[in-house]
Amino acid sequence: MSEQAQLLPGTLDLLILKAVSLGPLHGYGVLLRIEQITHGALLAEQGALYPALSRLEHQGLLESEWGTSDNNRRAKFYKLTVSGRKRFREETASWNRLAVAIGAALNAKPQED
Amino acid sequence: MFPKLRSLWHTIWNRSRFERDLDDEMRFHLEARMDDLARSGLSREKARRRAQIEFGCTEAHQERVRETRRVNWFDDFVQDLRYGVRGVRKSPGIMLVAVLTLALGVGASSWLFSMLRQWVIEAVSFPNPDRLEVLWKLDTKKGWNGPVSAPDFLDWRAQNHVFENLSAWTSDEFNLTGGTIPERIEGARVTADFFRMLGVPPAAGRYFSNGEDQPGAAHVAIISYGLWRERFKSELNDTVIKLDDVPYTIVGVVPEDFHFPLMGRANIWVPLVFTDKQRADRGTGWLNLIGRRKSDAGQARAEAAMSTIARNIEKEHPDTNTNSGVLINTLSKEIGKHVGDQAIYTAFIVGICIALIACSNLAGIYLARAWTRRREMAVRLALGAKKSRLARQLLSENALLMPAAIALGLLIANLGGQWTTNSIPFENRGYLPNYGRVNVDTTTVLYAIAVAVLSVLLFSISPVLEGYRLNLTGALKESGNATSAPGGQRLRKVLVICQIVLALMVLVPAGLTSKSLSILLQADPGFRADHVLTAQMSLPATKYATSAQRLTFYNQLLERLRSLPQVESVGASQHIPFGHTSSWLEFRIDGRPDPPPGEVPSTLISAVTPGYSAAIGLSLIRGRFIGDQDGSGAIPVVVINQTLAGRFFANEDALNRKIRLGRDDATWYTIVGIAKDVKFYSPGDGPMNESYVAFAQSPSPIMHLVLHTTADPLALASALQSAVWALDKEQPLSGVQTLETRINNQEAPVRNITQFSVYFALLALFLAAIGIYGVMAYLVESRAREIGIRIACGAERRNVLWLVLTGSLKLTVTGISLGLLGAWAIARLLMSNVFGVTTNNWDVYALSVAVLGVAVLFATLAPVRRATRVDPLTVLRCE
Repeated sequence: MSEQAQLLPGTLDLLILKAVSLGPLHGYGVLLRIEQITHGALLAEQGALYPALSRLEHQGLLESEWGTSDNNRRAKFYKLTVSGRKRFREETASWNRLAVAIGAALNAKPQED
Repeated sequence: MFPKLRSLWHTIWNRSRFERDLDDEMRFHLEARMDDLARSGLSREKARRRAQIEFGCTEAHQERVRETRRVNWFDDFVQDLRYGVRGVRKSPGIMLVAVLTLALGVGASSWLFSMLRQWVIEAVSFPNPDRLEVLWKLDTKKGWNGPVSAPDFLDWRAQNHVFENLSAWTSDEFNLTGGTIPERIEGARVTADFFRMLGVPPAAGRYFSNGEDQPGAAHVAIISYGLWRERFKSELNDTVIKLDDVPYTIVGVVPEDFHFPLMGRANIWVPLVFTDKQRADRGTGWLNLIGRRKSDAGQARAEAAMSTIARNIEKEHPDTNTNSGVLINTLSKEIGKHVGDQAIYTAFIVGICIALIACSNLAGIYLARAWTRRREMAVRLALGAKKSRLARQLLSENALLMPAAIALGLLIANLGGQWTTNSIPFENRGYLPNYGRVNVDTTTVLYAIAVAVLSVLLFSISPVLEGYRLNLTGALKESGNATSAPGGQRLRKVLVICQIVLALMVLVPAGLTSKSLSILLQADPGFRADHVLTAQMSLPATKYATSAQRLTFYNQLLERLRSLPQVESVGASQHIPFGHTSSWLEFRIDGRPDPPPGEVPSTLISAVTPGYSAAIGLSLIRGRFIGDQDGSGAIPVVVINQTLAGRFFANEDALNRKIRLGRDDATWYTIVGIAKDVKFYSPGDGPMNESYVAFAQSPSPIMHLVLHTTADPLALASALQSAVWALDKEQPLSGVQTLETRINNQEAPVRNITQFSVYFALLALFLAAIGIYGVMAYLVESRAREIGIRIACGAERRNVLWLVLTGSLKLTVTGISLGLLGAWAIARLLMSNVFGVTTNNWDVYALSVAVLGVAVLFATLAPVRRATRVDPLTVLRCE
């Protein structure tokens, strides 16, 4: 449990975009893909994924379509829209900048003069 | 384009599909997870439970999904709307009263707002109106201001550095001939740069060019859009018209919406050309001045600069330009004088007062409804409903009420506007911005919506919510409806006080204007107004150049008119009361030293025919009136009025004394009679010097015909017209009106203001009485249990009655004292526009307080009596 990091607030949207950027996925698939690419980072409740998906769709970043899953069940598949892809690139870039900055800040050692 | 809107729309439109999809999607997730877990070795039952635990509360997640789509917001709205409709169905009477109340408030205030905006605030339709200034010559000693003489104007224009343009104009009327019917048309003479100064381009042709107002220039004219369309079929090819028998070429047409209210219904403009005599005469002020101030010169600086110029002129011409200064007003302020801007501001405030009374009534209604729903609301609040959610519910319910109230309010505003216009005599409308029309336009609609929304927000929802907050625990604990929380009561008491204050602020101005009108109507005009037909004629100088020609024409005309059936007597006068024309002349009395310049007295003067006094019913006090013996060869005679006689011949006999009239005329006129004072400009005129001379001795080209008839005077109008045309078929006649109409038109503004304010006062009284009744009924009802106990314990009904009444008396007294302060402030505003009104007409205040007091008493008494009549046992058993 302890080695499984909780998701930082605000990162869920970005992870969903990342997961979906690799190809259309249904909600459960998104969950699995996120677990896979984060090596098991936890969502407190799996259901919390759906408000996030719905919000991204509402914002026009995702679009959805009903299709058939691997085990032949009806499932709703999400994929990135053009503006979703654009947003994903922007968010990734800014996240990387932030990560570098935070990392540098945390690694800084007191200077001795 | 708008993904969010589109997605909201889809969600709402396919609501059931959205819900089904949401269920399916989550069920799929759970089943897929269950499969995976089962595959890893868990039993199906355990896998199902594990999957559900990992997923969390499905309902909660679904709710959050709905929130992302704002579905809730919409759902709640629909729900509230349904709830509202149910409420309306359950109590249609109350909702109808609410809609009507709000509509009255919205209607009255948006009507008066439109009037204020269109007539006062946006009165001037020319570009940069704040730099358009009207200039008057000021007598710094007497504080009078008046028109400017031609040489003064020319000096002011040449010497100043603060005005871009300075133009002079004077109203004029022209006999327009050449068409089928000779017409008398209102117009003006203006200096060449007048139109360019106003800054609007012509609709066709051009404006006057610089030299065209110089002597000897070709005769050119500019006409109105309406005249151009109707009379000239919108063509402009060097059209030549005849004005007073002189040919003029039309060079330009002003735009369709051009209106210079100070000129009334001017339809034709010609260049103002000064004669040599006018250029030399500094003593006679006759020009209206308007200028466009330079943008870098403030009004105060402009006034100072012009006053310096005026003082320099005074040094050179001390005999004519004594105590001379310059007064500058903006054009909108000058128009405001015609409009009665102060009265309109007052009306606007009255409109706001009425809207506020309506609002407090609305608040009363809502409070009453809130009372019946207080437990429902309290339970919802206690269960954690947000205050904002309750507010939204109340708002949605109002969404039903507001559109109806706004639409009805705008209808009232429109009708009110039309009524305003129709109640103003046609002749006066030309002097009002927008020709006296009050339009319901986009701004009015926006204003009405704003008033309605604000009323509902401020006066219904917030007090109701406040009430819920205050007595949350109280409402929950209470078993019945016999007592109330103190918070709501205080609010209701404030409502009663507000309504009394506002009603008084509307009642007092109404009383003051009514009193003013009654003073006016009681004033003795000094002549007989009934059965008198009047008309104005102007003989063109080209055809009737000599005095003899004018004399012959009028004598022949009067002779013809005298022989008409139903005509009692006929006369003519250069000026008649309420005829919109007048002349003043300085006079000097024989045998007395000349007064210093600037202090020479002057008198209103009119040339009359012998029949005039009989025709208009002028009474003579002493001596005789102008008679047939006062011909052109006889000694010049004058009849003066009582005021002049009293002021200048107080201790001596005025008869047979001699006076000289005018600055340059050396003729001595012998006083042969003293006539009664005549109200000349308005029924509210103070005493003025008035004199009459013989028409035969000074034949004026412009005369007013006066016919005293035995039957309806207007029946003679066409006979009068034909009599004139029988003598000269090109001679137009204007202003064919009964004398009564002229007086009514003159009084119309006062009469209108009075009518307005009386109707509004009745409306306010009505609304306030209903509102006070409602609140009082509630207050008494909420004490029903207390009253029941008191009576059960043996209190006299009379004592209980008194107890409740003293409570309402306190409110009434507080309301009246505050209301009197407000009313006094409004009366101050009204004072300058309404004749004979001062702030301390205590009788009016007393009457208003009495009327309101009676209304409040009745509104209180009815519920109180009902409460004391109730059997105490019934009240107590209700628990």
